[in-house]
Amino acid sequence: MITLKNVTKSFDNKAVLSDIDLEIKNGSVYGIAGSNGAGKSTLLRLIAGIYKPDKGEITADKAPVWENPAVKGRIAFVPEEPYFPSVVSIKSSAESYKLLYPSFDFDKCLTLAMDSGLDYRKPVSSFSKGMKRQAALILALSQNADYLFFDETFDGLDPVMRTRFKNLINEEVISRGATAVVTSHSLRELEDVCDELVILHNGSVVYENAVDMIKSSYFKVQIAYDGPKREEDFEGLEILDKSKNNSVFELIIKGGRAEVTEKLRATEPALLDIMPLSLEEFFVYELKTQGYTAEPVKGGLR
Amino acid sequence: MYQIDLLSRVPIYEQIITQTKKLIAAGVLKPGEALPSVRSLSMSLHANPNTVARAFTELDREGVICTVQGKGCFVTEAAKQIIKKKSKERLSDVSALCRELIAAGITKDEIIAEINKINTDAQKKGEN
Repeated sequence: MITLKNVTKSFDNKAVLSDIDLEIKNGSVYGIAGSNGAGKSTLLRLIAGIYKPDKGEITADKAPVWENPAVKGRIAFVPEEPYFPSVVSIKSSAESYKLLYPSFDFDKCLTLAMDSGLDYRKPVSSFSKGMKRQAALILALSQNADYLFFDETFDGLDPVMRTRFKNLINEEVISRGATAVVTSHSLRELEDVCDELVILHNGSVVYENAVDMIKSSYFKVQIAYDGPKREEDFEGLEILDKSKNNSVFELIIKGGRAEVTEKLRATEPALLDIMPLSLEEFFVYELKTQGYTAEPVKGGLR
Repeated sequence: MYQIDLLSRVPIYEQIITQTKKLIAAGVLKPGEALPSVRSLSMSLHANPNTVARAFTELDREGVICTVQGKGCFVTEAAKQIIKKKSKERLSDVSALCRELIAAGITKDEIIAEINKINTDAQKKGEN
């Protein structure tokens, strides 16, 4: 398990992350989502032991991550833009990885490269952007690491490659109990990959829970009545957002589906539509409550 | 066997639960029969293995399947009965739909005729 306690990180006196408390269970595929500049990459680099926290502590299976080779040997990290020196091929990279990581599987690496249609003898610098990312992914997966960290790695892979790597990560989780952490600014990239999710905004945790929990406990409701309707009729429901268009109420409700449906039906509506909130809607809604919206800032900049 | 929409608004674990029950109700999965393993289902659906495992845990809790350590998950003898009982709770969905249809101007007789049609279809299937 990876544990973060009161983790704070600043750059040039500007706090990027403040007082982060998180627990990432072993064997999970954990997503870090957030608005632009929310601190996703910083968080991942802290967990990987690349950055040192200003305050707080980060441990993996109770051992500190920072400057701890025993833990770092169990971590594989794929940066947003992987760097390969000009003459290095997948094969020669694999040879140096083998020296650094005792658990590195050389044959697995070459097999994965071949399966992906990549020539492991060619310099990676001659590859396209997507192929470079695949090369970095293959090297990371061959490390047989307990912790796999991917910084926006899924963003921009084609659907076939995306499905392939999703399966490869799932395979690592099933067969070895590996833990994966993936960042993305797009929830669509995360929702079918991860089982748990944290949403960051302005350096703080806005929400943290199982992905399926969001879809089964938040609903978008459209409801209308024949006659006039009083506010009290929605009593007993946890309504997070309410707007009215003509005579149709649009509500965001938190609660179990059966309970919400039953209570709304009891108000005898003429029209009732209940839909689970999509992850993207949830994200937009959560950030709206934090004052981050797609609407222009009121009054604008003068 | 399973068909899952990974980007649906309906949670993946709920889709797996619903479909497993459908497969049991339709007799595709029979009592005593093994469900696909978490690994194979996760691989074929490209779904997160923890999500698949969570769906199986829920089905186990409801008594529809039972998990045998190291062997896998199996459909229980009582599965069909449990699914039938749970389905009764969903009758209220029918009344909600009927109310909607009546509001749209469809008569009660038309709805009943439609229901009778389903009934004969199901009976025909049973005879075969």
